[in-house]
Amino acid sequence: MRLSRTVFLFSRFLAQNIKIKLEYKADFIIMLFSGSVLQLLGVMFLGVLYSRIPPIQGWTMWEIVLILASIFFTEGVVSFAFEGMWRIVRLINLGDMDRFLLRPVSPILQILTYDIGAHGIGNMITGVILCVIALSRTEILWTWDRILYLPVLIVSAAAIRTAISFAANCSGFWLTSFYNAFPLMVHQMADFAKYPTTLFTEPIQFFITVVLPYAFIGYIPAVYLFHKQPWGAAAWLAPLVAVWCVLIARAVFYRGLRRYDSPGN
Amino acid sequence: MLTFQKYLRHVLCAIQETTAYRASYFINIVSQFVSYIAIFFLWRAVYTGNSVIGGMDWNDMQGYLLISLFTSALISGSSEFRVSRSIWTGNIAVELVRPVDYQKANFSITVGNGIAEGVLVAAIGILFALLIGFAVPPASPAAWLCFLLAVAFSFITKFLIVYIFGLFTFWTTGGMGLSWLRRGLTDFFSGAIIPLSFFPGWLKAAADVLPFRGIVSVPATIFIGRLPPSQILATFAVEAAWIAALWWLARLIWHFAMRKVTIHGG
Amino acid sequence: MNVIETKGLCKSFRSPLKKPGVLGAVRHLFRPEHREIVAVTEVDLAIAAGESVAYVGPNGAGKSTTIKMLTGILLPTGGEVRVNGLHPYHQRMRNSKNIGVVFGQRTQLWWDIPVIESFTLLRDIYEVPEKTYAENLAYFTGMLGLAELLHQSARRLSLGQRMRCDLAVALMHNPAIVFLDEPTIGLDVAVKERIREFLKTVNRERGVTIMLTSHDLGDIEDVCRRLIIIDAGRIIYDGSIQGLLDRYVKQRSIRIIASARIDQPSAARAMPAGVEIVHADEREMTVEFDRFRYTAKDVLEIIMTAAEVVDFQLEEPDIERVVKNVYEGRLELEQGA
Ligand SMILES: Nc1ncnc2c1ncn2[C@@H]1O[C@H](COP(=O)(O)OP(=O)(O)OP(=O)(O)O)[C@@H](O)[C@H]1O
Ligand SMILES: [Mg+2]
Repeated sequence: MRLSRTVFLFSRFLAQNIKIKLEYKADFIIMLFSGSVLQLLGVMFLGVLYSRIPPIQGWTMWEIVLILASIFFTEGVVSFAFEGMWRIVRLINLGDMDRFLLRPVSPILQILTYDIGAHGIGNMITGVILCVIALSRTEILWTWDRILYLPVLIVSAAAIRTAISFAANCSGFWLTSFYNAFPLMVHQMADFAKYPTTLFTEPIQFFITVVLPYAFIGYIPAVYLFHKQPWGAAAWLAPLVAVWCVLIARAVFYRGLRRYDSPGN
Repeated sequence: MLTFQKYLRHVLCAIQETTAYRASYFINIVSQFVSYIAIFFLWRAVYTGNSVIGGMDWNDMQGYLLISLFTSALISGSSEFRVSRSIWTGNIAVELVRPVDYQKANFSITVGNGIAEGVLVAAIGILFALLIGFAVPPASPAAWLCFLLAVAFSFITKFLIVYIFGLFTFWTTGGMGLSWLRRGLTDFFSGAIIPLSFFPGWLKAAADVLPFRGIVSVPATIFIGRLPPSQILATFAVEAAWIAALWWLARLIWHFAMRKVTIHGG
Repeated sequence: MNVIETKGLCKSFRSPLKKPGVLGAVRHLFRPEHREIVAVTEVDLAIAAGESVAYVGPNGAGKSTTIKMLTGILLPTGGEVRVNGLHPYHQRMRNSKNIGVVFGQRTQLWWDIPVIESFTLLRDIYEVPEKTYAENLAYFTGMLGLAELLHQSARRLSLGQRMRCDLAVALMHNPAIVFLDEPTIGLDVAVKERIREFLKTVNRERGVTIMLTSHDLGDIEDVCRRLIIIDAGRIIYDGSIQGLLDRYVKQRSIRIIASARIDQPSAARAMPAGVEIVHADEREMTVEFDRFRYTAKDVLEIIMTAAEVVDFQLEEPDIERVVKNVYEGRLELEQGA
């Protein structure tokens, strides 16, 4: 599909979804609220932890808050724009995927934009606020390449998260139970990215750098931005990693689609 | 007697339903462990260089996390999902015409689910504990009894909270936001990821009056022997009061939900 | 030219086999068993542009499964399939521009937004030129009476109203073929009538090929000229509706009303071979006869020897009865009749 057309349809679907969400005002507000509360709880957790102990492995609390905040922000963007992927299991089980397959538009685009997550707005807002606070309490030597890196990071991180969660949700093609914990588990593994990767044993480090490259959305960029390690420039690999993840996710989806048996009717 | 059998049937059906999809069943159980791995390593890093934090040593902490994992597995995401599922699929109409009490039926289903998943999680957990070789289980039979009682309280309290949040689905379109909020609140205030004894004074005072602490903190601290025996009875009394309050709160919310369904047509 | 062509099309599903009870569930957990369900097997279809085809068969015969394979929803497990020269699964997006689909129990409309907004969104999805869209909208609005519905959300529409909107959606992008899976299920007589009229007009005026499944044989006789019957995944008849009647409907029936009580035993004795009383009451009787051996007049005369006929009614051979016989296994069809 042409890019311009994809963007056009994406904006059409998004606008439509916003209109629908605004019809259910209570829902919208609850979601917004829960997004923010959740992130605040995350920060309180760190606050409580650090109030008892000195910096963990040379990372101060505010440095970790910055990692957290950037993760919240991308998480917010992803759930706001692409919440539909969390509906895959439902779409498969109720046979609603049929509709998407009958239209001359990529089913992936239709799934991603099937819903928006209002809580994403809450995440984005708290993410930005926390970023600002954390930046004022930490020292970053802003060189031009680091400034240039920020937009690259945001786009790549959003793509990596979307691709991984999307692929995980595609497990619904194989696991046809109505409740599928697998995607949520994969989503939760992003928790590993919230802390310095060196906390974990080597197999886990390998896992979150290579298998599910969550390290590229939090820890590795932070190492680079804070000048923590000489290998920090590896953070520039993030776009490549993102492309790789997207390709894999696409392949997983089309593999799974072969198994789709269109129940009901 | 027949009433009891009716709900027993729900329990059995739930066991069957939970195990019906085998890959999902095993994955649901594995996923319980995963989020604990991150927490485990975080704490291990915290404990290197500190032997005692917040009155707990590393051995205590491991026992605490293990119980936290176990109690959270008793009511997993799939139970939570089951409560709200019939609401968003519109199947609620079918359930409403049945001669069962919706709240009790859901409780029975959750019990069934808890049996099906909890048994395996407990088994794996015990195996894991033996493997990494720490031993701090309660010494006396009385302590064991208290612990089991605390687990029962934990189960009921968590069910009620999950159920109440599930009922809110009547007013929402069934997004995940609400269940994440629920999870965030319970995890934080129950002490699932960070023991309440680490909290600064004002926060601990808040957590102490909320019902959440019965879910993890109470059974876990009883298990590792950090809840003074003199406080146990009072703690249980507070928990029982909370359970009664939540039970009736749920009934009240149900009442309003039904008004919404029957008057406004869903 | 054939717009739909299949050769040896097959589809089977794998479904878990479970024993009852908690024990059965636990056993399945550790040693799962599956069974193969053959939904469609060895189906050959050749449908030309502009045809209107009814695809019928008992519940579970494989109708929906076939339609889903032709529309690119399901990947066939075997055989060849071409729709407008394209493979519906592997070239799904291109194929979808050429086809319109209506599933009786599903809707293409967005639940929460006004129908007209769903229409414009679908216009953008199908890239329908503005001019075509405006023309079609006017045309369908008139024919299907959509004017009052367009500004309501789909959630608030009745089944029949929604179905009319869905028909418009399916044809909005001028597809060459429409597939309709039970489009009249649950609708009242008036709406059914309207939908049939609409389909006939579209088929005639625009040359749209129609493939329709239905359990309402009225739909079929009214809209379609060709009939394909599928049973247990296999095609057992493919030909004209008239051909089926000529060939397989041997029975006609006469219902009479008598002025006096009918003496049943003697009436029964009066009937020759090939004429049979299928229903009898005090003053009423229904007689079935072989239409190739007797005319209605013959039969009526025979009846009059046994009863004082004051009124009678002749029932024409109808497709309903044939199909019922086929479904119930009382009639074996030969392919290609
Ligand atoms: N997703 C599926 N999984 C397993 N079996 C299926 C599935 N879909 C259909 N089947 C089986 O395939 C067979 C054909 O089903 P299909 O839906 O095509 O029938 P149909 O002719 O449309 O029937 P109806 O008139 O009831 O709509 C049935 O035996 C059905 O049980
Ligand atoms: Mg069907």
